[in-house]
Amino acid sequence: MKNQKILLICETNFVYSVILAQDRNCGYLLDLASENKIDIAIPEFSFLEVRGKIGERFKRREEKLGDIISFLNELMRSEYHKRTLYDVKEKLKQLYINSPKEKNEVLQSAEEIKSLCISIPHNAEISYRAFLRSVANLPPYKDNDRQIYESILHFTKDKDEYDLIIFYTSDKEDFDHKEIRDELEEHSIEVYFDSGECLRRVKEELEHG
Amino acid sequence: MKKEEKVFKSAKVQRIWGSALKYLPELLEELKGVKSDEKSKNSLDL
Repeated sequence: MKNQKILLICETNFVYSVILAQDRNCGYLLDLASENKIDIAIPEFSFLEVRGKIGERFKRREEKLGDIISFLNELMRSEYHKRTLYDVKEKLKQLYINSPKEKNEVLQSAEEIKSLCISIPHNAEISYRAFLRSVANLPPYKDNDRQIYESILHFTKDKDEYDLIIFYTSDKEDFDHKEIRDELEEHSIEVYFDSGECLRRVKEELEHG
Repeated sequence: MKKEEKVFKSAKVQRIWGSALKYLPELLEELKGVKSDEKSKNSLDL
């Protein structure tokens, strides 16, 4: 029996599920990719989305920590507060100082996921098709989701070397539409919204072809 | 890293998983669609 060639396409939520340790099934799927048993492809756009969101979150956290530390400094003008708040302020200062290092570690995890996957390139044509999609009022209805979806359609156009192509997303609300299902079916892509079902399908294909 | 999380064959995946979550607990609330293992009815414990 020949080895089945499987392509699993994921998006932003898959990256979050792994770097936030939220869904072990996604970790198992990545494990299979690291053993070269399957290929996982993720749009470049998704990695940029993750980077933007993480950067924004750390920036907001640092601003809040800075505000709290400034306020503590004001309170600590009195000897009484200086004694009681000293440890709190030192701990918050440490969090503030460590923030860039922590951000880099999280971003490093995203880069490591990328290194195990195929990064689906983005280009002007994809953006244009996403725009046309919005004009035609076709799902997915959020702009970033449209960009991601169009990059996936573009990427899977000539992927005849695969025996099975799966699109997995946990974002059922934005991607589970009849138009999308029909389009994916035309491209011979199976779609799964549950990581367990997706993993089961992949393992079944690997074991039985 | 919790013992129960040492389930991945790849050292890289293991490392990513191990360093996860500790830095961004508040981000979880913002991310729609990211579900925990407990909520996933079809979670496979391999």
